[in-house]
Amino acid sequence: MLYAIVPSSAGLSALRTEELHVHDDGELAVFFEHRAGPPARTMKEVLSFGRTLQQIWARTSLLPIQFGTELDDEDELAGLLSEHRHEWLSRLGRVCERSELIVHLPKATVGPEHPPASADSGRDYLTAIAERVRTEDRLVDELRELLAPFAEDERALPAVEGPRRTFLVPDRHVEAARAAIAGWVDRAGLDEVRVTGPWPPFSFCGEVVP
Amino acid sequence: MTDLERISGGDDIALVDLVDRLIGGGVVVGGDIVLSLAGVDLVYLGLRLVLAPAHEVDVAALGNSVSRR
Repeated sequence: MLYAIVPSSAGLSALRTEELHVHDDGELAVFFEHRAGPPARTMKEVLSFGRTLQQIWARTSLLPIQFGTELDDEDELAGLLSEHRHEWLSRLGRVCERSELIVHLPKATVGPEHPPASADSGRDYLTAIAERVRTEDRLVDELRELLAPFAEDERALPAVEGPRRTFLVPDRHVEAARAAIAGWVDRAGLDEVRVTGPWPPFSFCGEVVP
Repeated sequence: MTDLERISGGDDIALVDLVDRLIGGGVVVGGDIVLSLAGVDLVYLGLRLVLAPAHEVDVAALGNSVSRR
């Protein structure tokens, strides 16, 4: 099972364990684990995978690999590295010394939660929905403007409650970005805003490689 | 409690984000992908995380499907 793509460096040996191996071709390295079968599809396995990634990330920039990715053998891994070297080096350069901050915005509470019982009130219902979307869009725009001095990239993530956005922030700006959000939350009375991270750049290296 | 602590104090939501990104983010490469991520319902996932100890939650039961290349 694969964990992460990292730049080759002398420091990688410190992260090797009995289970965690490194395939290093001199420019790129991949952390992997030999397994007799696929990982169990349990939260325990996912979180264990996450802990290992965090340990690697504490030592070096990385491109995390999606949980549960397996190859047949190290030859296949070598071929994959060779095939995608340029692309992965470029992507590593873009996320090097950068982290991901995820911001949960509150769900707008304008209008009814459920469709009306009668068609007569349908227009009001749709108007309320449109207003809710506009309210949430306004918050996203404010957040984007607020983080413009700090963030280099941004993605929308599937909503949990309200909208959820993730930002790629240079490590040196993480605290300033969080402080800016905290100030905005206070000024606007947005008690339901939540920020998580810094995380490894999960959302900024996820293009599908055929 | 400081402002920063107030907005970052939601451990449950951090856990949801971490799990979501571990299975829904990262580089997707060739090879066998054990978990197909389509259809993961984060609201459901969040509720399940709150209601059950993490080690007892079966990811497969949260809406993931299994696919092999």
